[in-house]
Amino acid sequence: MELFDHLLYGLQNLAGVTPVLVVIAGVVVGILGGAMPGISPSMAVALLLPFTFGMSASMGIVMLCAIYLAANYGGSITAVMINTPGTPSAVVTAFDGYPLTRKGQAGTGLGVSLIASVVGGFVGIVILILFSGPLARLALKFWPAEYFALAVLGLSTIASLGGGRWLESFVAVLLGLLLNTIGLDPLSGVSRFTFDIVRLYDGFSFIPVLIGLFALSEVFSCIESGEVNAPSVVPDKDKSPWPSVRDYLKLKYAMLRAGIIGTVIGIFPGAGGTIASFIAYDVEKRVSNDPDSFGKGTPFGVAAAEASNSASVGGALVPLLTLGIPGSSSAAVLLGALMIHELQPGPELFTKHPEIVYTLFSSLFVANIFILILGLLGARLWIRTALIPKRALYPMILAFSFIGSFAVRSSMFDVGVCLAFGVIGWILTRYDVPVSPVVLGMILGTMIEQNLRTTIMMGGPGLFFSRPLSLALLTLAFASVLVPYLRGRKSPSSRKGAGGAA
Amino acid sequence: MDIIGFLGKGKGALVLFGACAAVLVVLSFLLRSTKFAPRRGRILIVAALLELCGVFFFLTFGLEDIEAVGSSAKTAPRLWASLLAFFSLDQLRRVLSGDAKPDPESGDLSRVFRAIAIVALAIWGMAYVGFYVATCGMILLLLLLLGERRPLMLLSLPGGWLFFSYFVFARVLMMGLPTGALFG
Repeated sequence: MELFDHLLYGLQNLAGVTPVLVVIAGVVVGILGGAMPGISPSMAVALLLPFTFGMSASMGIVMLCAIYLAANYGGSITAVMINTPGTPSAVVTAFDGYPLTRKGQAGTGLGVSLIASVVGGFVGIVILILFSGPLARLALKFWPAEYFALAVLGLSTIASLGGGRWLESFVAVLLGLLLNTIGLDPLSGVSRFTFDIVRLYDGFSFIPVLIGLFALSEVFSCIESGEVNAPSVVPDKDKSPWPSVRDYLKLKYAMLRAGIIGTVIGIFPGAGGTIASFIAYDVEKRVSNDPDSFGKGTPFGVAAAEASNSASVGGALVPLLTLGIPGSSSAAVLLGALMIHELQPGPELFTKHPEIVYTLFSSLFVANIFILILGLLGARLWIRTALIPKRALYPMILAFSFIGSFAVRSSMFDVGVCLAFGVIGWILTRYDVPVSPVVLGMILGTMIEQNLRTTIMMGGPGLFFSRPLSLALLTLAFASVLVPYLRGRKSPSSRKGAGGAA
Repeated sequence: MDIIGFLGKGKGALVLFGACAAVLVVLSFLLRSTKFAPRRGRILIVAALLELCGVFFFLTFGLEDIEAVGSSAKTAPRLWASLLAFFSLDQLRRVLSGDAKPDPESGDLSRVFRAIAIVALAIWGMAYVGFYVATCGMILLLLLLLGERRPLMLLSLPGGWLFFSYFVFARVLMMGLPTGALFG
């Protein structure tokens, strides 16, 4: 009851024109930032950080959290419409969102991604409010062995991501892991495979790789197939472009499942929304009655990906607010913002400044509602992207790819990397090698290597099997790979199939 | 050790990658008139991956050795390269035994290569003419390549992009886009 009183008090703090405008501004900036490849949620939060200096602490934090939440949704817009994930966590959204657009169902893709984001966001916030204490304690029990096992579990999703192409998926994920070793070794600082190119000391920047593998490769594939001269996919006029309430209700369990997975994975520092969306998508595919439809444009895939990455925001705020440990790069920027406003995250924040904590909690609910409203208004505009002739759209995608790649580190080298990975992605896709496992390998590579080696240093490889949580996660990962492998061996025809996400 | 040091940087790296590319070209030529010709593309991809594994594994011998209780900077690259080589060889076995699909039908490859050349030219040109001119030129050339001939489109799209990108990225987001030697 006390909790509801606090939340009501928080809501009262938001009653007024200024707080509502602050939330709306945060949501608008977040959606636009997320939709723009190259502007990550953390970058959007960091860009607006100086504007909060003149605000009260609570309003400043409210605005930054609204940006963080909205940017996770914004990333899905370009993923669905032009196969260019605006944020790394939107990669999985593109697996089914873009095929929906190609089928003339962009409205379904956008509608489901919006509602799933909002539902996932609510799930994350509710769990944050109710269970932040116990969840934070659980996160503290994670040693490097468990982080390694969690990352391996994330990698195991390739077994279903690649559809029947399990061998190609393994090759692709190992290619991603190998490419991820380029740069300075995360533990010893030894320079590896940099060929004396200073820009490679940090390894490949993730966004240019992402844009290249997804957006540029798609453009090149369409140019090759002559699809560029095909008429634009016009939504069926006899059918509503938007999903009905009944359609959304069919997805309710998928959204809830993904929301819970997203929140739980979001609380582990370093894991974040990207791993959450891969795992939630994998789980949804495994429980589905029609797993073959995944990767070909099923709303369930979009719902799982979006609900989990939005829910991970609530998860990332758990260790941030309760322990002062940021769960993601955006949460790290928020930690800086809290400190700039002379607030020390941790248990004391709840006792010394409950008004700020509960205003923040309430504002997340309000921000979610504005994401829904502004998302619905904006979606009517985004959907028109599908009507742009492809020969006009593709040069613009390439120009945007330049900006997105350049923006990350203000580096022309990254623009070249984007083109190189575009060509690699085009070749791989042409020969049925899925590119999403390459991305997954590159995302998880550092986490796996760092925790593998730290665990070996701490107590040898035996530690992976002597810690119950690590053993359980590794067993789950092993089973996740083994089951589709054995199924594939039983039906050789499926190995030749082209199903699965790109 | 010296040869690894030489191949791991500068001109040595060019020699290394040039040799790898040459092997692929020769292999492609040799496969043209064999029974493997319908799966030549797949074989070349596997060969490229095996070369990559070989290069990475070979270069780990030149890495500085800061050993820390059973693991070093060499551990992960060697592990991933070995596993990638193992799965690539399995893939090669499938391709050679005819278990894999034949290569896909080629589409308009020359148009793709021209598009890639235009994009590469724009990236190279940015150092000289700056971001705005290079991207406008790229959009115009790509429009022409993709078959657009309407003058209004050919003018409005690059022009619109110029105004949009300057206003949003340079003025609003204060992004320091390259201006190029010509205007810098």
